[in-house]
Amino acid sequence: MRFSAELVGSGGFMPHGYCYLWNMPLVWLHVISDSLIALSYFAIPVVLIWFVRKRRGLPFSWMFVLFGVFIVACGATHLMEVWNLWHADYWLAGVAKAITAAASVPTAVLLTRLVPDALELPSFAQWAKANASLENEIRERRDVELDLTHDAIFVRNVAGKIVYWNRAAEQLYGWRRDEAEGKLPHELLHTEFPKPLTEIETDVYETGAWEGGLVHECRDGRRVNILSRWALRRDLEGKPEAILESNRDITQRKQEESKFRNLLESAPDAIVIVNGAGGIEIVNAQTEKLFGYSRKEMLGQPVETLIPSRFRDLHAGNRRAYTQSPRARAMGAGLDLYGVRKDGVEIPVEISLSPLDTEEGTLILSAIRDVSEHRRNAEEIRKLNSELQHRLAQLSTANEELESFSYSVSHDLRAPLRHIDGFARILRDEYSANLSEDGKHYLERVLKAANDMGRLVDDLLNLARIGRKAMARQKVNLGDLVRQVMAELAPESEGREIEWRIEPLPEIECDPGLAKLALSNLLANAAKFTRTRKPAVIEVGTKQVNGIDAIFVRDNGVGFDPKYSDKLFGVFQRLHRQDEFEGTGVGLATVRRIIRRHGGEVWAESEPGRGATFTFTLEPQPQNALVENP
Amino acid sequence: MNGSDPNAVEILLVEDNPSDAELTLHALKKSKLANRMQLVCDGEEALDFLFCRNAFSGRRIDNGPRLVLLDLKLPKVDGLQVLQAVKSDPRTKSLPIIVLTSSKEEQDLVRSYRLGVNSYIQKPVNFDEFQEVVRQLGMYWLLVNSAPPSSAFVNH
Repeated sequence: MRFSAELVGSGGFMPHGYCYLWNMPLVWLHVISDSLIALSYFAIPVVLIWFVRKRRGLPFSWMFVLFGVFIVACGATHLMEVWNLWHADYWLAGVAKAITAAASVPTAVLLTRLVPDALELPSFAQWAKANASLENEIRERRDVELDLTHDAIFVRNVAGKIVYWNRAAEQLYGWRRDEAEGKLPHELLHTEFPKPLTEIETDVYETGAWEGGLVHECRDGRRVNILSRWALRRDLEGKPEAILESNRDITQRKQEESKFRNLLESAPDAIVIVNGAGGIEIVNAQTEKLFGYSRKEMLGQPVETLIPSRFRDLHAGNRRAYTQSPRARAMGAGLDLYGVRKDGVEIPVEISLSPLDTEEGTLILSAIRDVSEHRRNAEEIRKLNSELQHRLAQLSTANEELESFSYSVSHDLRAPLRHIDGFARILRDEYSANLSEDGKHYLERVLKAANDMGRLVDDLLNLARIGRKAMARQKVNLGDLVRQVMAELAPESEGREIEWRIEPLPEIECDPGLAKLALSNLLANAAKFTRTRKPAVIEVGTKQVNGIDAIFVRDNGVGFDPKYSDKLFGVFQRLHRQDEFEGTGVGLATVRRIIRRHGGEVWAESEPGRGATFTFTLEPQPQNALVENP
Repeated sequence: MNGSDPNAVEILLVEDNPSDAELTLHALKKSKLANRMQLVCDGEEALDFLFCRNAFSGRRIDNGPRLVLLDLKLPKVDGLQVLQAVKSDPRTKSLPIIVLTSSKEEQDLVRSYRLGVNSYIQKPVNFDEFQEVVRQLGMYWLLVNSAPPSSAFVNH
């Protein structure tokens, strides 16, 4: 205190060095210690602030700030200690301490109050434990979730051993989880791979995933088709940890697919299945055969490849329209459709379309039928038809000519006959006084010749008409027909002794007009050739010939030599001289034509002098119902 | 035989064949019916007569013959066409027309009757029968039958 005022400095105090009596080692000890403390105290908050800024989400970060302020203040008091050794600014030092106190007191108070909260913060061990239990929970939840799926899922570690096995895997393969875990899955399931396992695993390690078809064997030996998806799982450091396999049983789908394929292959038509963009997805063997492309060449190609180029644009447009509202129908109804082969040859086809709803969207199935042969046949039929029509027309022309010919015969041939007859009669009736006996005789011959020819013309016209006339079959009582004919013959046989023996005759199915004409000829013949018999006997009856009902007309007349029987039914064929038995030789030809038009046959049996029997059948077979002949 | 006054004709014979014409005439003569007969030899001439045209323009249409004997097969215009023309014209449709032909064709019969023929007769080959037919024809149409009055030939 004896020091001078200037040394005392402000307020008359002495620098602090005087307290140490300027013992320099002591002074420097304080200087260095206080300086180092201050330096440290200034450094600590910088580190703290850096820490707080770096470590986001730090609990109680304001405490660190408070702490920093407090330490900086402490550092300032230590600096003041050094300053005070030489300068007696004790007020300044006091202020520094007061600031420090102001910072330290709330820090201490707040820190005390913070303790319970800080105690709540978990320890590292607690953290680790919590983490482990959380991990466990996650795994359990994942397991539960994986148990929900229908896909069989298992996880195998890098050693290839199963570490997880879900419920669907238990159900599919028949192995329980505890049985499967620790096993090598591909040994357990005898997996068939589409390519070597090492290649697959290389893929998995490189890309993180793999997908493909497998065949697995279940516990009961059943083999199942599997669609398998593999995913690589890595740990925190990115090292491969496990492979997860998710396996879907597609056995049924494969079987259905195979059924579908079999169906497709066995279909008689070429079948092409096209996707929405017109790309060929599926073809069958018939398609290969029809179009000449191999399956490989067609798959993925636009379906327009199979269509002649001139139709391609049109087809693509139509196809898009069809895809908008697909329904089963024939393509291009009423149009001639064409396909084109690989060799460029066009083939006429018929196509029916139907939509197929699949997982990959709506596909369009077209069944294509080669109709070359069909069209060729149709063309052939058309040709034959037109030929037939042509021939029919020719035939009808020929018929018309025949008709006009017979008309001419009827008209033109008859007219001169009439004239001959007419003038000869006028001569005979009005001029006979001027004729000698010979003249009169020749005139008679002229008249008879005209008469004969008139009959001949009539007979021939009748014969011609039989062929032209349409048949009108109906049920006819044969007995009635015979009686009608007998009545017509009555005038000619007047004065003769004829014994008619008519058996009960059946109903027959025939054209009544024609049948009557035939009977008329046969009965007239019988009457004619029995002219020399007394009594003449004429029988009409039925008999069985080869199981068929036949009708016969038998007489006791002059008969004929059987060696000429084949000539009997020919036109103009006669076995008797005209002066014995007159006739035109047309009658029996007429009979045969009528019988044959009915599908039947007529024949004659005889010996000279012992009568003749004419027998005929009529088809269809005559009814057996015999009707009583009164 | 060819009546000089066409307005006095009672029978018109349409026949192209001279033999037929002569025989028919002979038959008519025998029955004393040939006095007022006109022969024409084809369908065209028949129509000229019946419709008073050309050579027959002096004839009055309402003074028709009592009877027309018509053959079917005629040159130029055939018998069926003549029949059709006569029967479809109101001035002539009342004329009695007899087809006298050698045709026995069913279609000729059908067509003739459809066109309104009054009778259809097929000439018998036998001349005696023919004479008899002609006699009966003349008797019936000229003596028995009442002819249509001239008002029947007026164009209504």
